[in-house]
Amino acid sequence: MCRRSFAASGSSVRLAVLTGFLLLGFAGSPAAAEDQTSSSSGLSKPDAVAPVEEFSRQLDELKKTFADLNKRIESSAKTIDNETDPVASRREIEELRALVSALLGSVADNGEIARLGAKALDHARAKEKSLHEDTRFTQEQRDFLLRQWEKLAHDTQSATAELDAARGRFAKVLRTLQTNDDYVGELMEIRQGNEALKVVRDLAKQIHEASDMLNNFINALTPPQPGT
Amino acid sequence: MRRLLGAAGALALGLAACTEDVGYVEVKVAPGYLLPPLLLGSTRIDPARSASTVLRERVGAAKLEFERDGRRVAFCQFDIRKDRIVTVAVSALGRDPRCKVES
Repeated sequence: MCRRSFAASGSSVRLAVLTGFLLLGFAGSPAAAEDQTSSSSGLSKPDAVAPVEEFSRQLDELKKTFADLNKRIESSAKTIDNETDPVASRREIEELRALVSALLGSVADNGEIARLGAKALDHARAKEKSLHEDTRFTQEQRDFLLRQWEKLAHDTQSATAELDAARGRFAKVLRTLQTNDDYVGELMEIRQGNEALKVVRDLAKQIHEASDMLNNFINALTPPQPGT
Repeated sequence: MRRLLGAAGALALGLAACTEDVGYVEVKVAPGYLLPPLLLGSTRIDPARSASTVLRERVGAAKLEFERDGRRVAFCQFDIRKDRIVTVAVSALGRDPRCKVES
């Protein structure tokens, strides 16, 4: 719908641009004629040159404004096309899902980190067990080493518990993403619709300003009425 | 813990770059059931150790099995889809485990 109304406003702007140039074409002839008349008569009229220069300046400015506006219309049309593309929002969800999936993969029970954590914990517990039976150390030394390994085993266990929590969180997010697939898609399309609305509003403002500029130019071309 | 998270981040990036299509299987064991060891491919799951296990697996058809008298008996079949998670809730009816699949 946005695209249709935009296309309609786009063509009306193009029509306005064309009308403006036609008006300028008609308006340009008397000015040129006046210029020729003054040069052929050989009279020096410094006051008559100024309005011609002013006209020329305004005409250049107007042409530039409309050319810029046309470019802006074309780029805005492309932007709106992208913003209202459902394939783009679907792709965004897939990217999000792939990201969460990669995170979940890193903390999965059969993932590398979980394996390393389990290995570290097994090692710490095995060391504790072997130290109890080790006769190489004094009682004091053994107690110290045992405390160190106990602490290490405890900390490793806490770290793997954090890993369990992270696993649960990522699994939940991934499940939410897939069960609310369509809903998330709609939300993303609404977000894109808002972006498109911003573009249309911005363009409408620029068209309005250009239209004012054209009106001022046309008004400046109208000769003053006697008695005004 | 910081090192562990750093490693997790690095591994996540590594996995993201990996081209193999993978999905996830969450095996949930209902409380109050005594179940034999479960197997998903080459991964062994001990139901007594954890109520929930999340495994990263290659996409495609998969089956959950249990082990009895040294034999593997399949009791649950499901599909693993790319970047998606399938939850398998395991309970038991008599001696035999049974499952409910939610994808």
